[in-house]
Amino acid sequence: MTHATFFALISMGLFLLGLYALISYPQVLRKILALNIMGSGVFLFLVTMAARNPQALDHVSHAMVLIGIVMTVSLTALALALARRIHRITGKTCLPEEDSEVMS
Amino acid sequence: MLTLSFKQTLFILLFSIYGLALIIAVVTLPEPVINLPRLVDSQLATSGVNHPVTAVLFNYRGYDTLLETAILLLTLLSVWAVHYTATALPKNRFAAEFLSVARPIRALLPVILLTAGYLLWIGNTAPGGAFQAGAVLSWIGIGLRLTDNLQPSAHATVGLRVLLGAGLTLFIGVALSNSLLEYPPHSASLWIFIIESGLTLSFSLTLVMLFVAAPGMTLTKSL
Repeated sequence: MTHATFFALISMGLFLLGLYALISYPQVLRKILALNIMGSGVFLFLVTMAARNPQALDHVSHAMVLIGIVMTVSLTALALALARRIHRITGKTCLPEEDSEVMS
Repeated sequence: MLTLSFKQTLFILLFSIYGLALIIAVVTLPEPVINLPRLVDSQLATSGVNHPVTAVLFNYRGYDTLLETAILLLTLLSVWAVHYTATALPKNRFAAEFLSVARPIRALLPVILLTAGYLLWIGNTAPGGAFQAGAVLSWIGIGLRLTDNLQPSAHATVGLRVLLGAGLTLFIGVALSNSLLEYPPHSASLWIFIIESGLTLSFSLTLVMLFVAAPGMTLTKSL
Protein backbone atom coordinates (compact mmCIF):
# COMPACT_ATOMS: atom_id res chain seq x y z
CA MET A 1 0.00 0.00 0.00
CA THR A 2 1.51 3.31 -1.03
CA HIS A 3 1.72 6.38 1.19
CA ALA A 4 -0.99 8.12 -0.76
CA THR A 5 -3.43 5.23 -0.48
CA PHE A 6 -2.82 4.87 3.25
CA PHE A 7 -3.48 8.54 4.01
CA ALA A 8 -6.42 8.63 1.62
CA LEU A 9 -8.02 5.75 3.54
CA ILE A 10 -7.36 7.50 6.86
CA SER A 11 -8.91 10.71 5.56
CA MET A 12 -12.00 8.90 4.33
CA GLY A 13 -12.19 7.13 7.69
CA LEU A 14 -12.24 10.55 9.41
CA PHE A 15 -14.93 11.72 7.00
CA LEU A 16 -17.11 8.69 7.61
CA LEU A 17 -16.61 8.96 11.38
CA GLY A 18 -17.77 12.57 11.27
CA LEU A 19 -20.70 11.70 9.04
CA TYR A 20 -21.83 8.94 11.38
CA ALA A 21 -21.63 11.25 14.38
CA LEU A 22 -23.43 14.01 12.49
CA ILE A 23 -26.39 11.77 11.74
CA SER A 24 -26.74 9.79 14.92
CA TYR A 25 -26.45 12.29 17.79
CA PRO A 26 -29.18 14.80 18.63
CA GLN A 27 -26.88 17.12 20.58
CA VAL A 28 -26.06 20.22 18.58
CA LEU A 29 -22.49 20.60 19.79
CA ARG A 30 -21.69 17.05 18.75
CA LYS A 31 -23.01 17.80 15.29
CA ILE A 32 -20.81 20.87 15.04
CA LEU A 33 -17.75 18.89 16.14
CA ALA A 34 -18.67 16.15 13.67
CA LEU A 35 -18.80 18.70 10.85
CA ASN A 36 -15.33 19.92 11.82
CA ILE A 37 -13.98 16.37 11.79
CA MET A 38 -15.49 15.81 8.36
CA GLY A 39 -13.77 18.97 7.19
CA SER A 40 -10.45 17.77 8.59
CA GLY A 41 -10.88 14.50 6.73
CA VAL A 42 -11.45 16.33 3.47
CA PHE A 43 -8.41 18.54 4.06
CA LEU A 44 -6.23 15.53 4.74
CA PHE A 45 -7.50 13.98 1.52
CA LEU A 46 -6.72 17.12 -0.49
CA VAL A 47 -3.21 17.36 0.94
CA THR A 48 -2.61 13.66 0.27
CA MET A 49 -3.71 14.06 -3.33
CA ALA A 50 -1.41 17.07 -3.62
CA ALA A 51 1.57 14.95 -2.55
CA ARG A 52 0.92 12.01 -4.86
CA ASN A 53 4.10 12.93 -6.73
CA PRO A 54 6.57 13.98 -4.00
CA GLN A 55 8.83 15.78 -6.47
CA ALA A 56 6.10 18.00 -7.88
CA LEU A 57 3.61 19.05 -5.18
CA ASP A 58 0.26 20.30 -6.33
CA HIS A 59 -0.10 23.74 -4.76
CA VAL A 60 -3.61 24.35 -6.05
CA SER A 61 -4.91 21.75 -3.59
CA HIS A 62 -3.00 23.49 -0.79
CA ALA A 63 -4.75 26.76 -1.59
CA MET A 64 -8.09 24.95 -1.63
CA VAL A 65 -7.35 23.60 1.85
CA LEU A 66 -6.53 27.12 3.10
CA ILE A 67 -9.81 28.44 1.76
CA GLY A 68 -11.57 25.41 3.23
CA ILE A 69 -10.14 26.08 6.68
CA VAL A 70 -11.49 29.64 6.63
CA MET A 71 -14.86 28.33 5.48
CA THR A 72 -14.88 25.80 8.34
CA VAL A 73 -14.28 28.64 10.80
CA SER A 74 -17.20 30.63 9.44
CA LEU A 75 -19.39 27.50 9.37
CA THR A 76 -18.58 26.79 13.02
CA ALA A 77 -19.30 30.39 13.98
CA LEU A 78 -22.73 30.42 12.31
CA ALA A 79 -23.59 26.96 13.67
CA LEU A 80 -22.65 28.05 17.20
CA ALA A 81 -24.78 31.18 16.87
CA LEU A 82 -27.72 29.00 15.81
CA ALA A 83 -26.99 26.63 18.71
CA ARG A 84 -27.14 29.53 21.16
CA ARG A 85 -30.45 30.59 19.60
CA ILE A 86 -31.81 27.06 20.00
CA HIS A 87 -30.74 27.09 23.63
CA ARG A 88 -32.35 30.46 24.18
CA ILE A 89 -35.66 29.29 22.67
CA THR A 90 -35.95 25.73 23.95
CA GLY A 91 -33.67 25.75 26.96
CA LYS A 92 -31.93 22.57 25.76
CA THR A 93 -28.91 21.89 23.60
CA CYS A 94 -30.43 18.91 21.81
CA LEU A 95 -32.44 18.97 18.66
CA PRO A 96 -36.05 17.98 19.25
CA GLU A 97 -36.45 14.24 18.82
CA GLU A 98 -39.25 12.41 17.09
CA ASP A 99 -40.88 9.29 18.49
CA SER A 100 -38.59 6.92 16.62
CA GLU A 101 -35.11 8.33 16.60
CA VAL A 102 -32.39 6.73 14.55
CA MET A 103 -29.89 6.09 17.31
CA SER A 104 -30.62 6.57 20.99
CA MET B 1 -27.11 -8.95 21.85
CA LEU B 2 -28.80 -5.61 21.20
CA THR B 3 -31.86 -5.45 19.00
CA LEU B 4 -31.96 -2.83 16.28
CA SER B 5 -35.10 -1.26 14.90
CA PHE B 6 -35.84 -1.18 11.19
CA LYS B 7 -34.69 2.41 10.91
CA GLN B 8 -31.41 1.64 12.63
CA THR B 9 -30.66 -1.34 10.38
CA LEU B 10 -31.52 0.72 7.32
CA PHE B 11 -29.21 3.48 8.50
CA ILE B 12 -26.30 1.11 9.14
CA LEU B 13 -26.83 -0.62 5.79
CA LEU B 14 -26.97 2.58 3.74
CA PHE B 15 -24.06 4.06 5.66
CA SER B 16 -21.92 0.98 5.04
CA ILE B 17 -22.75 0.96 1.33
CA TYR B 18 -21.90 4.65 1.07
CA GLY B 19 -18.68 4.20 3.05
CA LEU B 20 -17.59 1.28 0.90
CA ALA B 21 -18.32 3.16 -2.31
CA LEU B 22 -16.37 6.18 -1.02
CA ILE B 23 -13.35 4.07 -0.06
CA ILE B 24 -13.35 2.26 -3.40
CA ALA B 25 -13.60 5.57 -5.25
CA VAL B 26 -10.69 7.01 -3.27
CA VAL B 27 -8.43 3.98 -3.66
CA THR B 28 -9.00 3.67 -7.41
CA LEU B 29 -8.51 7.37 -8.15
CA PRO B 30 -7.00 7.84 -11.63
CA GLU B 31 -3.91 9.94 -12.33
CA PRO B 32 -4.55 13.61 -13.15
CA VAL B 33 -4.80 14.56 -16.81
CA ILE B 34 -3.50 18.12 -16.49
CA ASN B 35 -0.06 18.53 -14.92
CA LEU B 36 -0.97 21.34 -12.52
CA PRO B 37 2.42 21.66 -10.75
CA ARG B 38 4.13 22.30 -14.07
CA LEU B 39 1.55 24.96 -14.98
CA VAL B 40 1.91 26.67 -11.60
CA ASP B 41 5.70 26.73 -11.71
CA SER B 42 5.95 27.89 -15.31
CA GLN B 43 3.98 31.10 -14.69
CA LEU B 44 5.30 31.84 -11.18
CA ALA B 45 7.73 34.51 -12.38
CA THR B 46 4.95 36.66 -13.84
CA SER B 47 2.45 36.10 -11.04
CA GLY B 48 3.79 38.82 -8.73
CA VAL B 49 4.72 36.63 -5.76
CA ASN B 50 7.49 34.12 -5.19
CA HIS B 51 5.53 31.49 -3.29
CA PRO B 52 3.36 29.08 -5.31
CA VAL B 53 0.55 28.78 -2.73
CA THR B 54 0.17 32.57 -2.44
CA ALA B 55 0.26 32.82 -6.23
CA VAL B 56 -2.51 30.24 -6.50
CA LEU B 57 -4.59 31.96 -3.80
CA PHE B 58 -4.40 35.52 -5.11
CA ASN B 59 -3.55 35.21 -8.78
CA TYR B 60 -4.43 31.91 -10.42
CA ARG B 61 -7.49 31.19 -8.25
CA GLY B 62 -8.15 34.76 -7.20
CA TYR B 63 -11.89 34.30 -7.74
CA ASP B 64 -12.04 31.65 -5.05
CA THR B 65 -10.48 34.03 -2.54
CA LEU B 66 -12.84 36.81 -3.62
CA LEU B 67 -15.91 34.65 -3.15
CA GLU B 68 -14.51 33.34 0.11
CA THR B 69 -14.28 36.91 1.43
CA ALA B 70 -17.88 37.46 0.37
CA ILE B 71 -18.92 34.28 2.20
CA LEU B 72 -17.19 35.50 5.37
CA LEU B 73 -19.16 38.74 5.23
CA LEU B 74 -22.34 36.80 4.54
CA THR B 75 -21.69 34.58 7.56
CA LEU B 76 -21.26 37.63 9.74
CA LEU B 77 -24.53 39.06 8.43
CA SER B 78 -26.23 35.74 9.16
CA VAL B 79 -24.90 35.74 12.73
CA TRP B 80 -26.19 39.30 13.10
CA ALA B 81 -29.56 38.21 11.74
CA VAL B 82 -29.75 35.38 14.27
CA HIS B 83 -29.00 37.74 17.14
CA TYR B 84 -31.06 40.72 15.98
CA THR B 85 -34.20 38.70 16.69
CA ALA B 86 -33.05 38.12 20.25
CA THR B 87 -34.76 40.20 22.87
CA ALA B 88 -31.73 40.94 25.00
CA LEU B 89 -27.99 41.06 24.53
CA PRO B 90 -26.01 38.17 25.99
CA LYS B 91 -24.72 39.25 29.36
CA ASN B 92 -21.38 37.53 29.14
CA ARG B 93 -19.00 38.03 31.94
CA PHE B 94 -16.11 35.71 31.58
CA ALA B 95 -14.89 33.95 34.66
CA ALA B 96 -12.20 35.52 36.79
CA GLU B 97 -9.80 32.74 35.83
CA PHE B 98 -9.75 34.17 32.33
CA LEU B 99 -8.37 37.46 33.57
CA SER B 100 -5.12 35.87 34.77
CA VAL B 101 -4.62 34.32 31.34
CA ALA B 102 -5.85 37.22 29.27
CA ARG B 103 -3.86 40.02 30.85
CA PRO B 104 -0.60 38.80 29.29
CA ILE B 105 -2.36 39.01 25.92
CA ARG B 106 -2.71 42.74 26.42
CA ALA B 107 1.00 42.95 27.25
CA LEU B 108 1.76 40.99 24.10
CA LEU B 109 -0.12 43.45 21.89
CA PRO B 110 2.99 44.85 20.15
CA VAL B 111 4.26 41.32 19.53
CA ILE B 112 0.92 40.36 18.01
CA LEU B 113 1.01 43.39 15.72
CA LEU B 114 4.56 42.61 14.69
CA THR B 115 3.82 38.94 14.02
CA ALA B 116 0.77 39.83 11.95
CA GLY B 117 2.75 42.35 9.92
CA TYR B 118 5.55 39.85 9.42
CA LEU B 119 3.14 37.11 8.28
CA LEU B 120 1.49 39.53 5.86
CA TRP B 121 4.82 40.57 4.34
CA ILE B 122 6.42 37.14 4.21
CA GLY B 123 3.44 35.75 2.28
CA ASN B 124 5.33 36.76 -0.82
CA THR B 125 8.14 34.25 -0.36
CA ALA B 126 7.05 31.79 2.33
CA PRO B 127 3.79 30.38 3.73
CA GLY B 128 1.87 33.34 5.08
CA GLY B 129 -0.33 36.01 3.63
CA ALA B 130 -3.56 37.73 4.44
CA PHE B 131 -5.52 35.00 6.22
CA GLN B 132 -2.74 33.92 8.54
CA ALA B 133 -1.94 37.54 9.43
CA GLY B 134 -5.63 38.31 9.97
CA ALA B 135 -6.04 35.33 12.28
CA VAL B 136 -3.06 36.45 14.40
CA LEU B 137 -4.38 40.02 14.45
CA SER B 138 -7.73 38.81 15.73
CA TRP B 139 -6.02 37.62 18.93
CA ILE B 140 -6.01 41.26 20.01
CA GLY B 141 -9.77 41.44 19.82
CA ILE B 142 -10.24 38.07 21.50
CA GLY B 143 -7.87 39.03 24.32
CA LEU B 144 -9.78 42.28 24.82
CA ARG B 145 -13.05 40.35 24.84
CA LEU B 146 -11.83 37.88 27.44
CA THR B 147 -10.83 40.70 29.82
CA ASP B 148 -14.26 42.33 29.30
CA ASN B 149 -12.69 45.33 27.62
CA LEU B 150 -14.74 44.59 24.51
CA GLN B 151 -18.42 44.37 25.21
CA PRO B 152 -21.23 43.37 22.85
CA SER B 153 -23.52 46.22 21.92
CA ALA B 154 -26.86 46.40 20.17
CA HIS B 155 -25.75 48.43 17.19
CA ALA B 156 -22.61 48.46 15.06
CA THR B 157 -21.12 51.87 14.39
CA VAL B 158 -20.63 53.08 10.84
CA GLY B 159 -16.85 52.93 11.20
CA LEU B 160 -16.99 49.29 12.19
CA ARG B 161 -19.19 48.42 9.24
CA VAL B 162 -16.91 50.30 6.86
CA LEU B 163 -13.86 48.45 8.13
CA LEU B 164 -15.66 45.10 7.95
CA GLY B 165 -16.57 45.61 4.33
CA ALA B 166 -13.31 47.29 3.33
CA GLY B 167 -11.52 44.06 2.46
CA LEU B 168 -14.19 42.83 0.10
CA THR B 169 -14.69 46.29 -1.43
CA LEU B 170 -10.97 46.68 -2.03
CA PHE B 171 -10.78 43.24 -3.57
CA ILE B 172 -13.71 43.93 -5.90
CA GLY B 173 -12.22 47.32 -6.80
CA VAL B 174 -8.87 45.77 -7.70
CA ALA B 175 -10.62 43.01 -9.62
CA LEU B 176 -12.69 45.47 -11.66
CA SER B 177 -9.80 47.81 -12.39
CA ASN B 178 -7.64 44.93 -13.61
CA SER B 179 -10.12 43.48 -16.10
CA LEU B 180 -11.31 40.83 -13.63
CA LEU B 181 -8.12 39.83 -11.82
CA GLU B 182 -5.73 39.65 -14.77
CA TYR B 183 -2.85 41.59 -13.29
CA PRO B 184 -0.23 43.05 -15.64
CA PRO B 185 3.06 41.33 -14.68
CA HIS B 186 4.96 44.49 -13.67
CA SER B 187 2.39 45.65 -11.07
CA ALA B 188 0.99 42.29 -9.99
CA SER B 189 2.83 42.23 -6.64
CA LEU B 190 1.55 45.74 -5.79
CA TRP B 191 -2.08 44.82 -6.48
CA ILE B 192 -1.75 41.60 -4.52
CA PHE B 193 -0.26 43.48 -1.57
CA ILE B 194 -3.13 46.00 -1.64
CA ILE B 195 -5.64 43.16 -1.62
CA GLU B 196 -3.85 41.34 1.18
CA SER B 197 -3.62 44.41 3.42
CA GLY B 198 -7.32 45.19 3.18
CA LEU B 199 -8.15 41.52 3.62
CA THR B 200 -6.04 41.23 6.79
CA LEU B 201 -7.82 44.12 8.47
CA SER B 202 -11.36 43.09 7.65
CA PHE B 203 -10.69 39.38 8.17
CA SER B 204 -9.42 39.99 11.71
CA LEU B 205 -12.38 42.27 12.47
CA THR B 206 -14.78 39.66 11.07
CA LEU B 207 -13.25 36.96 13.27
CA VAL B 208 -13.56 39.13 16.38
CA MET B 209 -17.16 40.01 15.50
CA LEU B 210 -17.94 36.31 15.00
CA PHE B 211 -16.45 35.67 18.44
CA VAL B 212 -18.39 38.50 20.09
CA ALA B 213 -21.53 37.29 18.23
CA ALA B 214 -23.53 40.45 18.80
CA PRO B 215 -24.75 43.15 16.43
CA GLY B 216 -21.90 45.44 17.48
CA MET B 217 -19.06 45.83 19.93
CA THR B 218 -17.68 48.66 22.04
CA LEU B 219 -14.46 49.18 23.95
CA THR B 220 -15.35 49.85 27.55
CA LYS B 221 -12.35 50.30 29.81
CA SER B 222 -9.17 51.93 28.63
CA LEU B 223 -6.25 49.73 27.67
